[in-house]
Amino acid sequence: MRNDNQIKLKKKIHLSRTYRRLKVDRVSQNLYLFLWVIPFLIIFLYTYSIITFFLTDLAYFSLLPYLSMDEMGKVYSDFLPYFGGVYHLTLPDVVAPDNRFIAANMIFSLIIFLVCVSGRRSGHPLSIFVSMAVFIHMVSCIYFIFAPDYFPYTNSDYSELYIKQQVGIWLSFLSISGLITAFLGIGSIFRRIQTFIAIMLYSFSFGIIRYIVFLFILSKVSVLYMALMFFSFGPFFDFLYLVYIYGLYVEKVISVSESQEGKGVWEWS
Amino acid sequence: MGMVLAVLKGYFIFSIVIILIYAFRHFIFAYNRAFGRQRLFYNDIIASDMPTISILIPMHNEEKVLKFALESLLECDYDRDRMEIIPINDNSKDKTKEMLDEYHSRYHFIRPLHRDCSNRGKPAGLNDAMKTARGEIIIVFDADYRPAKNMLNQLALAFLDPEVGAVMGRVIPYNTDKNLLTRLLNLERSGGYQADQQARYNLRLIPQYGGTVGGFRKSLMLESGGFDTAVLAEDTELTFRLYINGWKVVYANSAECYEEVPETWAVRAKQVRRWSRGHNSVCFRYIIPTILTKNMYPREKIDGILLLLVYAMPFMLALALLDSLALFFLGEMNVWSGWFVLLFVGAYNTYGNFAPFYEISSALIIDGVKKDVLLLPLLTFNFYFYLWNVSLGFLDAMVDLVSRRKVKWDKTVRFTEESGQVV
Repeated sequence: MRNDNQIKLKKKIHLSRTYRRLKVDRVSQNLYLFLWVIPFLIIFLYTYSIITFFLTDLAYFSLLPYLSMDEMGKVYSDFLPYFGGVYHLTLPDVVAPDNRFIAANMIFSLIIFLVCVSGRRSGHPLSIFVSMAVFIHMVSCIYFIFAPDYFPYTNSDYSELYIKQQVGIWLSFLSISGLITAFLGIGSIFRRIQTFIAIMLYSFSFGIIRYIVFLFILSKVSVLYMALMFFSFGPFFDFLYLVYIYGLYVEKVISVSESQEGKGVWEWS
Repeated sequence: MGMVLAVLKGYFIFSIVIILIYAFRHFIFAYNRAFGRQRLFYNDIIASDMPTISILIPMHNEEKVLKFALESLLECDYDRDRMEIIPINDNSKDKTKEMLDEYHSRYHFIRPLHRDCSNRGKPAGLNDAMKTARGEIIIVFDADYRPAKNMLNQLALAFLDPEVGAVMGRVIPYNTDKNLLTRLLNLERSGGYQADQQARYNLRLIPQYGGTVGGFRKSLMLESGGFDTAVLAEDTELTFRLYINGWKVVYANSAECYEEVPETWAVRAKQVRRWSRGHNSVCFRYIIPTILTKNMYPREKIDGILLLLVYAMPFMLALALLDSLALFFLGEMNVWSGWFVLLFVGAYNTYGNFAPFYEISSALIIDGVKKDVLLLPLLTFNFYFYLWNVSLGFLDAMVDLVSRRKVKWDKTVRFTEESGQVV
């Protein structure tokens, strides 16, 4: 005679994690890739000029309370062949930081460095990250002490550099997000699109805000921080939210695949 | 100046190409593990004539953990007439010797080997133990490992296949809920074994023998002179020695064993630096033989080369970051700024042993690990941690190579629940 409790229990048994795998849904993978990711990528390639145009406008109006209209302008620079250039903001020319300001930065950097490498903080990933950032800043300080006249960038140059790097980040993130949600994702296409859009929306917003903050620092504080901003607060930070949003998606996938309704996603070797 | 710039730019492009190769490799592994047909281990084979095995457990001051390993082994369902356990007491100063002798008095097949000599270290200990071992198959566990009940059967079964020279099981941390580090290491282990090792096994590439939770044929090792005591990564060395001589290493995903992972960053840093030093020494020694051998298929060679270079990558990447800093101050970053991100994309995907986020995600889906998946972004900070510590290990290996200095074995610190203190 059938024991209902045992039947209930049986329904809870999942395939062992050892050799189970996910069912491939090539139709949805290809639909998603060819009808969503690739068109999105192509549209971006042909519109990044316009996007940077609006981004520059946004930065212009955000910085208007702090800089006069005469000091700022919008220019076009070449970037990728076939797809066009980028717009970026021009800013007032840089006055090299004076030696007292540089010395203060050096001393402050040294203190931070010593804090990072001493005691229990030493060797911690965050300490290593901060130490490396401080190292880059110290290199910048030394450069400005010995060769301030040879510093190769104006604020406008940096603005151009940033926009090009940001377009690079968006292109890479479009490709990475597209590939991981297309080929390493399962379940509804809607959820994949949701993840993809969340990553890109966050990336666009973060990229714009960072642009405005960086330009403000360079114009109002000092050009001394240019290298630090470019290397330590650049693409590295973009990965944090990309992986976090993807992590949210994966968590949802796991919840579904471990539930009763998700049993069908599994195959045994 | 033009020449210098050309070299700097060339190196920058070279680094990006190499790390993209690694990113692609790991993407294939992630996809294969998630959706590909899995190559089963030998679980379905029922053999009445199992090989005689010798279980070797290197120990140095292990009084706090040894009983867990031995008790777990005593629970295993392997025929006791066909097994022996040889705990290798390597110059212990605590109560390890007394405790092992006590076990020996209760179980005749536990035969401790007490070493009290200057030639310390895991490879030297294993060499001595192999000489007295009665089994044809050697299974190795570290003292803090706790094998599952059917583990020995699973590992020993592999050697019924005449092509198999070594076997590797899956390692799972048991102290995951201790702190953030142990949780992150759990994610890394999941990616490293459930996805990376299994995918390499599926694709008939090179699953790596990991030095513990695995086994090998004793005769092969003795014929080739045993373990090299000058090598810190005797596991990687064994893997390549076997492949170059035409043998295979197989991975048993179902043979799960529980281990204690480091609970402090300092201990983890030391461990990673030692691994890097040992792995890179093996890389210097085996990269040319791997290219030249006729006993490996092209796909195995490619994977083997990438595997050997895994611990050299962080150093290459550190140089690439310095390179890009130089290009920045020379005013040349304009050309490369759009592509600078690729360096980070690659960097984040490079650390073979420390699988990239999408490979770990695939493993977590398969393992059904829910909440901890949200910790994935924190692995980003490990990027700098590994960049630093693995690079130091690489430099250690370079100095070893040039100075021919003698390497000193250094045990990973243990953390035990029972004592409440670091051992």
